[in-house]
Amino acid sequence: MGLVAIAAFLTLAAAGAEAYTMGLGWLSTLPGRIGLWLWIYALFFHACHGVRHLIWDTARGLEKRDLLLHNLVELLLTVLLTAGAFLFTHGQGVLDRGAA
Amino acid sequence: MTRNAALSPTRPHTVNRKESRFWLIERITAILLIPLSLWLALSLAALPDTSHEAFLDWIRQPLHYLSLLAFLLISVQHALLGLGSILDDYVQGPRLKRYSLAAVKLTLLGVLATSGAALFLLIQTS
Repeated sequence: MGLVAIAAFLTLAAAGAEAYTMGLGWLSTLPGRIGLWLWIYALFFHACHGVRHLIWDTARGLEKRDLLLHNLVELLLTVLLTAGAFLFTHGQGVLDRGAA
Repeated sequence: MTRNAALSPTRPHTVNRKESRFWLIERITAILLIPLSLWLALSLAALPDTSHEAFLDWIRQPLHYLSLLAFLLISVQHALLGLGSILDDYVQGPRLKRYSLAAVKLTLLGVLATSGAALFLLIQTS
């Protein structure tokens, strides 16, 4: 779904400023932004779980005691990466508001 | 090897070459996608506040359009293998399986063709 959205957005951008601004209008609404951040969260979650599969491929992390720990690490890392990406792109604004 | 042998008694000491190639490609694309996904997520996160002009400046830098092209090519390959194995595991019946795999391939091909053409136009016009 993300890939289809990227293809659609690139097409709008290639079609010109008017089409791009229309696409950006949808993306910058609240549902658009929430959808974008849910997609970013899902991408990070998939990446973290993928790394876990790569670890499993080395026959590590399969013990029962590791499973719960790795579950928690995976979820925590996904949240941290998403929050990090948010701060990276919105950080200046957040810091400014914090200082004001 | 012993587990594989236990699962396929008819050919106890062979590993399906096609499947082991799938396995390898899935892992290679996964590793390549780790840095590319991080880059893409950070780029997309800033997108809602990016004007058309700023977007054009951004996409016309070789590092950016080449990274995006690499992400698209590698993720389509990765998605084809991943979605293919999901369909293989969960779709009942050979005909439905064939049709759904064809639909996935068509969609991914459409994504590649559309984004490829759009990227080409974006970096051409100035």
